Amino acid sequence: MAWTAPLSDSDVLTLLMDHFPGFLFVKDEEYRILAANERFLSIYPEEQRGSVIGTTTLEAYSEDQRTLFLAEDLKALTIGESEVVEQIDFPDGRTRTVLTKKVGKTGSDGERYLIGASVDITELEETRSEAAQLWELLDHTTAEIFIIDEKTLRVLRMSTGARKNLGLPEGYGELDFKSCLTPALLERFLLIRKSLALEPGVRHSISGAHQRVDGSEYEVEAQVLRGHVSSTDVIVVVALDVHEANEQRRTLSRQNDALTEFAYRVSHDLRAPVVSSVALVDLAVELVDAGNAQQARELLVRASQVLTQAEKLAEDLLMLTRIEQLSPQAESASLEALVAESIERNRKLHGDIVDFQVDLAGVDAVTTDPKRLIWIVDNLLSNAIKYRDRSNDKCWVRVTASRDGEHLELRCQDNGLGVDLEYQPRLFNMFQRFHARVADGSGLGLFMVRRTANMLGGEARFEPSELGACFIITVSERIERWS
Amino acid sequence: MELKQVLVVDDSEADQFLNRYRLLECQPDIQVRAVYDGLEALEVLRTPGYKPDLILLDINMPRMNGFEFLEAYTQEFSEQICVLMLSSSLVDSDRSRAESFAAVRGFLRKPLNVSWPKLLSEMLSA
Repeated sequence: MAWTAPLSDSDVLTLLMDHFPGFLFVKDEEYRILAANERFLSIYPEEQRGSVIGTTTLEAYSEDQRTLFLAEDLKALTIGESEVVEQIDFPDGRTRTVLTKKVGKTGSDGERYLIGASVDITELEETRSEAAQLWELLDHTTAEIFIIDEKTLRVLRMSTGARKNLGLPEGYGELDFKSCLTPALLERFLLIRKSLALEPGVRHSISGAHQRVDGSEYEVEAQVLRGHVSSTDVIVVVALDVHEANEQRRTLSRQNDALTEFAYRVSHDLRAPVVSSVALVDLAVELVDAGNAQQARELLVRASQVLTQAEKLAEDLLMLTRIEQLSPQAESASLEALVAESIERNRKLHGDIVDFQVDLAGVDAVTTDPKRLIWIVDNLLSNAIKYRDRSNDKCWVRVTASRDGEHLELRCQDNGLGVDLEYQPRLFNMFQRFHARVADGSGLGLFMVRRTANMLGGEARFEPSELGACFIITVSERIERWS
Repeated sequence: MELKQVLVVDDSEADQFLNRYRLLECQPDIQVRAVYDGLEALEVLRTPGYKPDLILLDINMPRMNGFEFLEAYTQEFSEQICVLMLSSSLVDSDRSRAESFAAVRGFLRKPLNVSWPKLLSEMLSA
């Protein structure tokens, strides 16, 4: 300490005694209190204050505290100084945490004296303790919590959950909170920071994408509020990783939309032929009443055709349900026999109107679900017949096969009407029809073909062709790939 | 209202037949032309000199449905022909979506019955 002022020690001591915001006291080698400021005396009940000076007052404290006081006093008297943070039960009944510094000095009479100064740090310690508890809590929580310095936006502390989500290692060092946010989220966060400065008590919500250290992003919803930790102004961000939940919500939403569309189309496509048939039958009755039996008969034939269309849709819907509900059954089968059976069935159904050309390139014994595979072939051959080019003298369908590792590939090429380029992207969607004048199918066939191929671990695709249509089906022979 | 030419846009041949029958029943000299979807309707409407007084339009059709037709038609043709939607749809949103197009004067549920001339007259004068 530098001391050049022309003042005596007693001037300084008097000033300190009167105005020091802590406790000041002087003891002799017998630990008796020789001097103390008013604040020190105030810790004793009023009736005892008159007898403090000249006594040790040790009897006012517990045995543990007495032992500690005497040890620290002795240390200061012998070594020269001591410093301790101690929790003391004051004689007036209060319990306080104090930082006490004691210094041993030799007086002008040659005796040793002890000067002590204590500062009440109870509130400071409580704050430190709360902060320590908070830090410990953060270390053990999987929730995503950030404590950010309000001024610098440095991350003072973050929860283990936040660290892991950001992809940071333990002991990651200093981190700028801004670097954790995507530009859009940062912009919103900075606006909230301004609002928090104006209205500290208000809690704000924010949602957007957090950015991991590897640059990838994940969606969060966060609550942001302002507070104080160890007398530092902080912003607390409690974030919830909603990436998976949002993904699930989006998937559900898509499924719900698809289901709504499905219900709409089914209700419409089943109702439409019924409405038409009723109208045709009503009209037929009118004609019978008017004595025109021949025209009435024609209308009833039309009504029958329309109802057959409804029946086909009902059958396809039932098939769709079966495809979804029943698991594929693996069997060894002859591909040649399957294709031959399908050709025969289509010939019986549609007549011998196209030339079937088959070249399976030696692929015969296959492991598959024969019922499903033949159903796929039936659909493709039936489509090739329905959508043949009637202006062509020689309509043909060519079925070829090949093996590529675990996958069996079937190609069905025809010289029919084909599918215009603009409709190809939705060829395998539900309820799609592209040749209104030619056939009146349910619009579900190709959707079910793809779904069935998918269930057998493969896919269905369309290959643009100048000749007509070319559908390629793959199925896996490894049943563990099936669903 | 006296109709000379009507364009029926419907993929169902049965409904084409029924519409044509009811139209002719009411007005035997009416010229009815039927196409199977919105794309075919656009093609015939582009025919020079062909301008029907009314389009009877279905919703669910292959390639281009009724709504897609209305969008394309509104963009391509400045002079709008009256459109009457005729569908078996029971969905309210179909009706409101159809009525959002200026050309659409009404929305009828199939089938077109004997009272359609009265309904049409009311719609066109509304």
